[in-house]
Amino acid sequence: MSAARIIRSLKKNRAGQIGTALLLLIVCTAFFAPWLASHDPYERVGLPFQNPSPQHPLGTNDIGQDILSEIIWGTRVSLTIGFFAAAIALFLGTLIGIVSGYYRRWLDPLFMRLADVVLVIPFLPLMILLAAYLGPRMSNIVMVIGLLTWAGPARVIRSQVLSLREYGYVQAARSLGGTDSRIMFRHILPGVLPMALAQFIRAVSSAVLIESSLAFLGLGDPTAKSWGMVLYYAQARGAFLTGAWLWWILPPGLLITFTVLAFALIGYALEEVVNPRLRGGIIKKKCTP
Amino acid sequence: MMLQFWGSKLLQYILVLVFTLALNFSLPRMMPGSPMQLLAGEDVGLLSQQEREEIMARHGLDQPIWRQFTIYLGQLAKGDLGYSYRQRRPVGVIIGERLPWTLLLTGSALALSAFIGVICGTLAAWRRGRFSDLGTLSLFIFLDSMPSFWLGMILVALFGARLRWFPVFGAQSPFAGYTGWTAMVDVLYHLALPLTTLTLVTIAGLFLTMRYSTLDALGEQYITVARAKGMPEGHIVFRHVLRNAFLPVITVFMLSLGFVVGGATVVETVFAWPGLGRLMFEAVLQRDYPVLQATFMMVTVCVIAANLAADLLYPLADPRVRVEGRRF
Amino acid sequence: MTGKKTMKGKAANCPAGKSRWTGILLPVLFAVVLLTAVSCSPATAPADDQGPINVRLAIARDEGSLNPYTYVSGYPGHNLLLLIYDTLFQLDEQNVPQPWLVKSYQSDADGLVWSFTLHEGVTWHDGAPLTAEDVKFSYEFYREHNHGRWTKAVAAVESIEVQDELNFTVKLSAPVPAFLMNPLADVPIIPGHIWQDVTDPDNFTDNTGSGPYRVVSHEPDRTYKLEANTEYFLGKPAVDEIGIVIIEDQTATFTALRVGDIDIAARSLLPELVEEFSGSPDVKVLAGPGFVSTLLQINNEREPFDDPRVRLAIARAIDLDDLVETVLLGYGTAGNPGYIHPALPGYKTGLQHITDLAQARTLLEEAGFAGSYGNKEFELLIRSNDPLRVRTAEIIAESLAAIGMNVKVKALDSSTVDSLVWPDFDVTQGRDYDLAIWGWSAPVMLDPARLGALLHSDLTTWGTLNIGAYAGESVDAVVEELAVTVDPDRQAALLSDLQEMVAETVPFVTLFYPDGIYAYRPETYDGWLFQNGQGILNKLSFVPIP
Repeated sequence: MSAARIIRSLKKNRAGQIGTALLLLIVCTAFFAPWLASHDPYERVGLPFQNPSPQHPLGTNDIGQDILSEIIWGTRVSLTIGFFAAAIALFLGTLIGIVSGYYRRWLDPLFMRLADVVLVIPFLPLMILLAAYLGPRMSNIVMVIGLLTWAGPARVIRSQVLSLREYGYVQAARSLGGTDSRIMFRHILPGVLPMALAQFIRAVSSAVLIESSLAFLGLGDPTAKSWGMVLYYAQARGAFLTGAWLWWILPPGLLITFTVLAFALIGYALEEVVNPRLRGGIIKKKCTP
Repeated sequence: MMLQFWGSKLLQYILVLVFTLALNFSLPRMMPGSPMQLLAGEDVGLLSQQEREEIMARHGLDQPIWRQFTIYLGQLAKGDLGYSYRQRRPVGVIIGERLPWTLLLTGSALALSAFIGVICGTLAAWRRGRFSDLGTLSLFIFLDSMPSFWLGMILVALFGARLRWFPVFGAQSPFAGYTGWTAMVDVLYHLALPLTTLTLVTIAGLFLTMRYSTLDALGEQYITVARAKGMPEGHIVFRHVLRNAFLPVITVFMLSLGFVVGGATVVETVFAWPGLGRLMFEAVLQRDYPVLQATFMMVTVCVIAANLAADLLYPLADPRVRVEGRRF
Repeated sequence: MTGKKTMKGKAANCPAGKSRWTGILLPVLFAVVLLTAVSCSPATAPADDQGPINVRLAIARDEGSLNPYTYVSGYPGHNLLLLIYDTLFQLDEQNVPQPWLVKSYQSDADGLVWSFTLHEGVTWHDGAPLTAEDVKFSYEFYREHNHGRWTKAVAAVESIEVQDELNFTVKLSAPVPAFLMNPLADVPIIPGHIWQDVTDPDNFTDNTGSGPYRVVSHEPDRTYKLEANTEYFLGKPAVDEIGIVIIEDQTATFTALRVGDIDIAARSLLPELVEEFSGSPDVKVLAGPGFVSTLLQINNEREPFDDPRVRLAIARAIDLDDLVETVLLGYGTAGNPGYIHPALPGYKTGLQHITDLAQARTLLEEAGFAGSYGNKEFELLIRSNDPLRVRTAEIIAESLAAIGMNVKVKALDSSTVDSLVWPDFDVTQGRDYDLAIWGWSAPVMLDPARLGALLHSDLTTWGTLNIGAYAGESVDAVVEELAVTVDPDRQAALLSDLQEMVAETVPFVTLFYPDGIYAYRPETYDGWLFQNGQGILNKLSFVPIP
């Protein structure tokens, strides 16, 4: 399935449309953060705990940084974390999925049991362990999320590889004497890419959520200004007990929700596009029984 | 043949179990930091070298790590989970206190979200593309996108602190001395907000699975045939569609069941719920090795058991899989 | 309508195919949960003005069975412990030791032999009399059964001789400068008849004491119930029952306080909430100095911080008043460059912290800093779970950047920070950090012996808290002399010298001491007494000094 076709189908899918529109808005915010934000989010520009005012539409935080600017810049941080974590997860997932599905004899059981282990061990505590072990730096958070979320995509991709390898063109390439790596990466990989893309999009959304939960539990990087971190400081500095929750807690939470939603909608839509059995599923007007 | 298949499946799970046990044991010990402060109490800085060594020896922490591991396995075989460094009580007792609360919260959340998810999922699929489908779908995906701690804290702030309809922390009113019926009501009253939060954020998974698999089943040949034969719609839904659509849901449900034991650290934190998730989290932060190992192991075992159960149940529920199973 | 009916109604409604059912889904979901709970919520007990006073106190963690070997934290664990057990002396509001179990006492001129007379009629919670034998037993027990705090405290006690039920004499091997404070006002007396056969005190859970409160129930990780000891030798305590609830989460704690589920929190109130809480008619806020210190800990061993000029430059670069205003919103005291809190008797007046960027730059220049370290990035370690300190670190990094020192704030989980700054809590094992935000609890401020442990260069014997491996010969001499000086004037002079040396050579920068801020509901109990530097959770809040 070509990229053009995916885009065309996405365009027809209403969930995809909504998701894409939301995502575009968010990505633009991230991209134009320096122009959109009125202040440097790291600069102390006012007194701490100021209520909203024309200078600071969402007030100031606990050391007098502009909350709106923090949130706008936070878009970059949160998206970056989500994007790279998902990239790691999908790189591993795709690679392991393909190799595992292709070498069914020896590597498959090994990798799939490894995936079992990753899926079986309690997720959050392991995350905590790794975050504590590696230290709560942003790059480590990204790595930890990536390393713990590849197993799901790997399984999905593996099962696709299993059916793909029986396809005529793959069989043909094999009988023509193509090397394993050539078959895997020239013939099978393009076949699983759409599914990998769908999985990637879903992984970004879960990574953004996971990052915010880690931050809430105090395991994030307190010096990076992600949305999760803004929320962490807000709740740690009593915003839930004062009126400040309206401008300090609602906006970043809603932004997380809408970002995750945008990615989720696109992800679901993509899945339907690439998985014919779900076709007609998510949001199409007429049902075709 | 069948036996051989299950035998190899079981073997694989045992391998996974052993591997995770070793991982559970070594991970905490690989973390920087030591449980010394927990073991020695405050003023740990005033201890002499010899006193430190004594303390480490008393807890077997002076032994080489492989030796600690074999001791740990030996104790485990006897059902001894060790002593908590922080609470100085048997880990088994601590877990015994926490487990019911965890099961109550996560278990009822799973049951509730499965119930709502299955019903709404079926109906949504049935009314695919209509407003009711799109509405539920967007609502559940939206709820799924919320950070659970955020939703939970807003619920506490709103229904707990401002409206005062619900208690703001814990699972029971402290010192209320309720017994019997009133105690149960009291617990339910405390359960309301955390249960709502957890249910709302977990409903989407089961809903979507149910909706997808119902759609899937609706597209099957025999449904078309049944329709053509003029069978009533309700009959088709309940007799043909649901039976088949349930399969993936059962799998998802069983797998989630395994995670029920692990609790929900984030939601437990927000509502100060005395569950296992929070216990585990605390143990990590304080390097309380015995508690860490025991809770990790429990969760692992439960997840593996749930996986195994899902594997076993699946062919029972679906004749097609059973036939395939025999072919091995 | 019950929740169940609502649910059924919805379910029955759906197959009919009315598309509006989704519209009511969310309200229904809420209704299910709300109705079930609201309709059956337990009635709250009516308030009784004449009845006994029951105070609900929230603490953050379980404190074991609350005996001298099982309590966990210095605060509030030690404070609760001392509601259950008594000490021979008791620190008053100003932290001056006053006789408590002891009725009268005297010592010889060198402070080596002390004789005491106990109050008559003091009994244990089980009714047995508390005698001089119990005191002897306790001190000997602590010496034999190791416990960080008590064992060290009683180390100098050579022997205790019991004359009769009430009279005993203590012989010291060397003079102890603050003997009345530590051990006498710190070490709890345990009942000999209960502890005599105990060999493994860490796992012994009995908590029979002699204090104003007795533990009547303990649900681990949930609650304690303390009941007033009506037979207390100083009269019945003011509060009849203290119900302790363990709430770990900060927001949950203060929410509970605001809605009235608890009456007081052991946790200090966040500065930003003072206004919000004191605005409420139901809540009173009591604030005062706290002796917990917050320091910028410097690794004195590592270049270039081994050069006192560099350390002084760091101190000069930091604006402490700005820190107190920004991070603590003014609820704190800027650090004394000589470490000791200004509200303490040993405080040396006149040591002002000076912020002087020009001087700081000159000092760095003299030390040749720019040439060797101008491009180096130093790490400032900080526990990631303490937002106030993270902010402090961020501001300090900003200040140091202004004098050309490139510092990056590195947040790690607290056990990891400990393992780098103070590996295994043993200073002889070295250290691996440049700078760290650190803090010591109140006892390290009050007790001159522990002050010495911060500064002495011999890490194995004296300087067991010297986590920066600071070394100053003149300081060592003062510390050693202070440890055996009992004359108050000489003590004051030595403390004064010590503070001057600390201010000059900067083993660490004392940043500030956050205030203790306590919020409570006065309608339940309004007799809380703020013990300077240590807060309101103390015996004096319930029992007046005789």
